[in-house]
Amino acid sequence: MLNAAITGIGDTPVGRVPGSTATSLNADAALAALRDAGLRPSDIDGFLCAYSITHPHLMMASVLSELLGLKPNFCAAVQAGGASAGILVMQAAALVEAGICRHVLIATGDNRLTGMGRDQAVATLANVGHPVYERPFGISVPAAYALVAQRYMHDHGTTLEDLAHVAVAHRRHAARNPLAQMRESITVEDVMASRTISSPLRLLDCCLISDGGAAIVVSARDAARDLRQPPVAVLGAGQHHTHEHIVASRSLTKFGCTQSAAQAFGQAGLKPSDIDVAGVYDSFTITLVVQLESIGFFEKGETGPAAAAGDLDLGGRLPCNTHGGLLSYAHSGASGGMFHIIEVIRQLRGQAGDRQVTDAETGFVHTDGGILSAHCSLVLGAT
Amino acid sequence: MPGSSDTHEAYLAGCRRGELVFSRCAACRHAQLAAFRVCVACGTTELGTEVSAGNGTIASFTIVHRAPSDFFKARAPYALALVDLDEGFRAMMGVRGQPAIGERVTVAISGLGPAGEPLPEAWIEGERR
Ligand SMILES: [Zn+2]
Repeated sequence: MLNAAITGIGDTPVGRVPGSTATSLNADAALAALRDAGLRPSDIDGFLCAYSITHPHLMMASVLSELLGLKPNFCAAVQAGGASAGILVMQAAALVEAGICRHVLIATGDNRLTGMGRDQAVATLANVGHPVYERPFGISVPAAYALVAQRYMHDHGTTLEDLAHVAVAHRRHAARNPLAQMRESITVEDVMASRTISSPLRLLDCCLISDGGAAIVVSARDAARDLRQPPVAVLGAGQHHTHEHIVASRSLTKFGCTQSAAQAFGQAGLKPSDIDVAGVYDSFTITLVVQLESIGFFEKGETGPAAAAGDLDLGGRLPCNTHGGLLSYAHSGASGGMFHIIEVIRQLRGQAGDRQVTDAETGFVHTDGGILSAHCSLVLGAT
Repeated sequence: MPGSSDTHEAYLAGCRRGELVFSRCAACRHAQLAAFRVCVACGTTELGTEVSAGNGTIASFTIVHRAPSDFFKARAPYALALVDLDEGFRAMMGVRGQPAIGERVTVAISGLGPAGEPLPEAWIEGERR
C-alpha cells in the first residue's frame, strides 16, 4: 500500500469551450483542485503536468507553475499520450512515498476542439505513426486501432454489434451526466449505421475531440487528514510499456495492460472481482474491449454481450466509465484519462450524484497511450 | 565516417532498388523490421541486413475512409495491412486487391508515398500487375 492519497479534484467544462486555451484550462482545473482540497498555492511543493498539442511549450510545467504562483521543489512534465494521467498520479505517489513532496498538484488540459479543429487534430495525431514504416502508407490513430480491432475480432469472436453495445453503454452513462459533451441517446443500429472511419471502426466507435481540463492533488497520507475532502487512497499502481508503433508491437491481441494491472492489483492486494467501479480508457470501443478482457474483468469475447446485458451500467457487474468516457463525455488529450480518475474519485467519495454507484469502496483506473503501447493502472480505495 | 546511424537507411535504399530489406540478428538469427537499433529478441547490436523474398501472410488490415492528409484523402478509401513476411518479420504496407486475415500475398516495391518515394505493397494472389 502506498503512502499517498488523492485529496483534491478539479475540472473545467468540456466540449466546445469558446475562448479557452490550453493554459487557461490547465490553470482553471488546477485552481479548482486546490479549492476542493482546501489548499493554497503555498502548500504545494510538487507540480506535474502533461502536454498540449495546440500550444506546445518546451517547459510547460514551469509555465504553469509560474502562472499559478507555485514555488515547487519538484516540477516536471510527462508526455505519454493517453497514459499520461495515470503515469502522473503514479509519479506523484512516488514523490510522496519518497518523502520528496507533501502535496503534489497535477494539471492537464488542452483545447483540441476550438484550438485546432477536427481536421487538424486528426492530422496532428496521425503524426504519431512511424515516419518511415507507417506514415507513408496513410496510417491514422483510428487506422492503427482498426488493425488491432480486425485481428482481435478475428481471434476472439468479438462482433461489430458487440462494439456497438459498448458505445451505447457509454452514451447511457453520459445521459445521466449534465456536463457530458454527447448526451443524446443512441442505439446499436445508430452505431452500426454510422459512417466507417477505418474498418471495422465506425464514427460512433471513436472517441470525441474536446476542449477541457482536469487536475488533482496527491498528498502524503498524514498530510491528507485535515483537508476538506475525504482522502482517496492510492492502493496500488503499475505500468508496462512494450512498443510505441503498432508495426513494432509483437502482438495484435496481447498488450501491456495485463502486466500493469497485475502490478497495481498485486500492490493493493486486490483482484478485478473486488472492484466496485472502474474508469478504463476508451479511446475506441475496441480499446475498452481489449483492456477489460486482458486485465481480467471479462473473459475473451465476453465484453460485448456483457455491455448488452447492462454489466457496465450502474448496478451492473462492473459499473465502468460512469461519466460517459472518452466516447461520450469528452477527450481533450491528457485530461481524457484524468476525467476517468476524477470520476472514480467522485464515486469513492460518494459525490457522483445521479450516477452514484451504491457503496463504492474500491476503484480501478486504466490509462493507455499510443496504440495500446503505454499502460498505467491504478487501484484506488475510499478511506 | 560519422553520420546517421539510423537502421532505416538500408531499408530506404532497398526500396529505391526495388527490394524489401530487413534486419537479421547475427547472434540469434531473429528477423525484424529495420526499425530497431538492437535485436528485440536477444538485445545484441549485431544486426545485419537481408533482402526478403517477398512472400507473406496478412496479419491484419483496415480500409481507411477518414484519411489523415490531402494526399491520402485523394486516395481514400484505401487498404492498409500488417504483413508477416515468411522470413519472420512484420511490416505495414498498402494492399492491391481485397485483403483478408490469413491471405497469402506477394510483396513488391510498387507503391508510391506522399513524397514520391517507392514503397512496398502487398499483392493479393490473382491480382493483375
Ligand atoms: Zn538476437
